Amino acid sequence: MNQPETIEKLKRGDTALFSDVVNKWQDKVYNTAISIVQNQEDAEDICQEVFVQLHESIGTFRGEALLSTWLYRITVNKALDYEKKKKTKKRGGLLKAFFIREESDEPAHFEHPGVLAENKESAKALFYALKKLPESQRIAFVLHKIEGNSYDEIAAITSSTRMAVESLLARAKMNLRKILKNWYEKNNH
Amino acid sequence: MEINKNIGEKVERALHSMDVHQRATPAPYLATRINAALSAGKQPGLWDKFYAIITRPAVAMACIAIVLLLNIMIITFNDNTEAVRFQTDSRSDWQSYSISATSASYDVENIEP
Repeated sequence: MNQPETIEKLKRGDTALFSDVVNKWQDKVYNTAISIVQNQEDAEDICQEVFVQLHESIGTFRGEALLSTWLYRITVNKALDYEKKKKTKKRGGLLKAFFIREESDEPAHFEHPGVLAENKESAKALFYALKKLPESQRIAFVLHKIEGNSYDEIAAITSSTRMAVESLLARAKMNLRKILKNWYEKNNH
Repeated sequence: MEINKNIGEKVERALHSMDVHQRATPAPYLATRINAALSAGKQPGLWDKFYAIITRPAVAMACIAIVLLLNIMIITFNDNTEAVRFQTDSRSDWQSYSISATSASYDVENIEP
């Protein structure tokens, strides 16, 4: 079934097809969300919200982008919103944020469920470093390195250009190297 | 030197630690959760809609601005009323004085009927 046909059926409220879409895409949505928020429960909530939004907004989908691009875009936006909400809650208000600096030496604790056993410790350090990256670089890195999207796909998801994505990824790698180096030096691993 | 080399290797290993990995999969009940969320949230009530509108930052700020503006208007209006009342009061005093003065002169002029 091609995309216009799928979209048309989803717009008409085909529940069986919607379930198929959920089954087909839930792993990709979840994997992206968990790599951004680095928390299993939050990633599941995001995953749920993404598909609820897909169901509610499919009527407005004009089919100019691929369904996959649209889903990734919703996922990234929801994950970033979740993260912002969490940070605000954690800080406990604006006033507190003026006095308390964000903890810079927090331990690397997130374990991605799909990582190979021999890479677990290295992956923990990588996810710690990812948290320190600027938002756009982090999203580009996650979509490319963890989700395996091409530069063009990432450009479509982030509404930018291939050149911009290449530049973001180069800067992301450079910054990750710096952060990881500092972290390993401090922690004497 | 050896330590730096070691750290460099660790950095590269960390950077490539996700080159080969399996995709993380959600809990098997996710589809059920999605269906439950869809059936629960199908028709947002009137109050939900009202709450959603009123909690928008722009709307909240506009409401505060309107309340402040009303307060300022009431205070200014009250001040003006006070000023007008003062003016009216002072004018009536002058008028009454003037009338009494006139009547007094009238009385003086008509001594004899």
